Amino acid sequence: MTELSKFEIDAIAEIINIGAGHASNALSVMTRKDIHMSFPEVKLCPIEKIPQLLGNPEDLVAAVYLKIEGKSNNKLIPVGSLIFMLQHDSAEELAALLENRKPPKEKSFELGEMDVSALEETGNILSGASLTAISKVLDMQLVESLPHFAHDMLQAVLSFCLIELAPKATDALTFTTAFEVEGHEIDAYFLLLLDPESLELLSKRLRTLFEDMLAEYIEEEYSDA
Amino acid sequence: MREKQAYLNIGEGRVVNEPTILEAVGIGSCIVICLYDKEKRVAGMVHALLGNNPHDEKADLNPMRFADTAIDLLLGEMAEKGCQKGNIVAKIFGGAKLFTLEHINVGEDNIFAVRQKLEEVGIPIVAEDTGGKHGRNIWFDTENGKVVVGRVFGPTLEY
Amino acid sequence: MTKILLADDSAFMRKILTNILTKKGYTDLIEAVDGEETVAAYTREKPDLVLLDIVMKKKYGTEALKDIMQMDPNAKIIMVSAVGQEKVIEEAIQLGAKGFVVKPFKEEEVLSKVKEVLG
Repeated sequence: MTELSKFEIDAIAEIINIGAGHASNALSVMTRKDIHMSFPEVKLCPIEKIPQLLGNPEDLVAAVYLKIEGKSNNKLIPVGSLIFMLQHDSAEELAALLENRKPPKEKSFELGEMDVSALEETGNILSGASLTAISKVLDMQLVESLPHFAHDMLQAVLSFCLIELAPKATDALTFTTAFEVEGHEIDAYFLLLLDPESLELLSKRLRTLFEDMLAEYIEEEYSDA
Repeated sequence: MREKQAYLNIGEGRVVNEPTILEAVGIGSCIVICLYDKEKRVAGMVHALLGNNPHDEKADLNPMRFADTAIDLLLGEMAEKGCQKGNIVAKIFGGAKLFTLEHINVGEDNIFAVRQKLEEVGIPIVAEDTGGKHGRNIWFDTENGKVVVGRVFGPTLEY
Repeated sequence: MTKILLADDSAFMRKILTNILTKKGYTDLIEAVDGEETVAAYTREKPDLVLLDIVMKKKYGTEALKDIMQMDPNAKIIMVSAVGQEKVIEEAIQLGAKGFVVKPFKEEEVLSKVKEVLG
């Protein structure tokens, strides 16, 4: 696992926050409601502990998973994965809101086909919106997979998302953003897992950008003098 | 007799020689392997994420994350506690495909790797609840070797 | 009556577009759920307008676009994309798409673009 300084981690979190802001705006358009968003919480943790970041292992959740790859020298390299997740009750409420109908009076454990489609599409749109910021910093065109949907216990669902990282690293840097929909009991989470190589790429690029900024600033100062 | 309980998170494995309920929950594409020596009443269980350890020296990965190295470790510890391989049987669980739209089936690959490994080490699989599209919860009662499998979507069964 | 083909693999997206369009009186709508079906439906139905999603199974949106433009150089196609697909949109316009809308879109955006392209 690459050693990142606190400065670098904070910088990356800022970029992701910008991306999350775009996602938040997109969600607002789709739900026609105000969205409250948290600043991304950054945690370096053993990948076995990642599911616990979002809840209890047996919680029934709905999740959309997208794999992110980047185009580099005509090849596709792994960048990471994005998971859009809600507890079942929130998922039902959100689906109803998106489809412009009232949530079912009777609670069930099932989600209808249209609900699944609505949640998948939301995950898809939000991830597209959030990745533009990272794409700009990496200076790489990012490609998302089609959205994958699952509805089951939290740990069962999230453990699948660890598969890519499992053979590569002990720990992963995780960024978790929470969204709340105004006036509704809807809590949604966005979890970004970055592949260790992309993380390094990201921090190198940030350093370059920072140096460029500094160089520009110094030049301005000297040209004024 | 009051039984002890132990919870196994992803990448955790345990060998016990006293009556214990070993628990692993939220098993999706992961695999849970329960090993039991009826003679010595010694049991081992692991909650693994993948089938094969890539053996990457640089990465220094948790061996219990991978079924093959986990099984070796469990068998090693069971041998230390006096078990003879001939008396050990295995029950395997998990390897489900939870996500729609998945052209790779990690769960299936995991189960395949586990079967291969157990065949390699000569341990018979006497029960299994694998594959499918839903998550499982596993409770292994090491007093009698029975395993209960629960799930949100589907029945609770005993093996 | 204007015939519009809605091509998107998301049932939800097709429903949203159906609602937006039928409210405005565009009730002759056909749906296609993947790239291949889109081309087949275009050949069969000869719609006046296509709302074409970019990321689809069984043939990417831009591939379907190419096929349709080859068959019918006057085809009126509006690409529907998610944020961050600017390069693909550029490519699509080069290939002959008459416009695009970005998800998530507001009703007015879709309707004004539809009116604009239909002319």
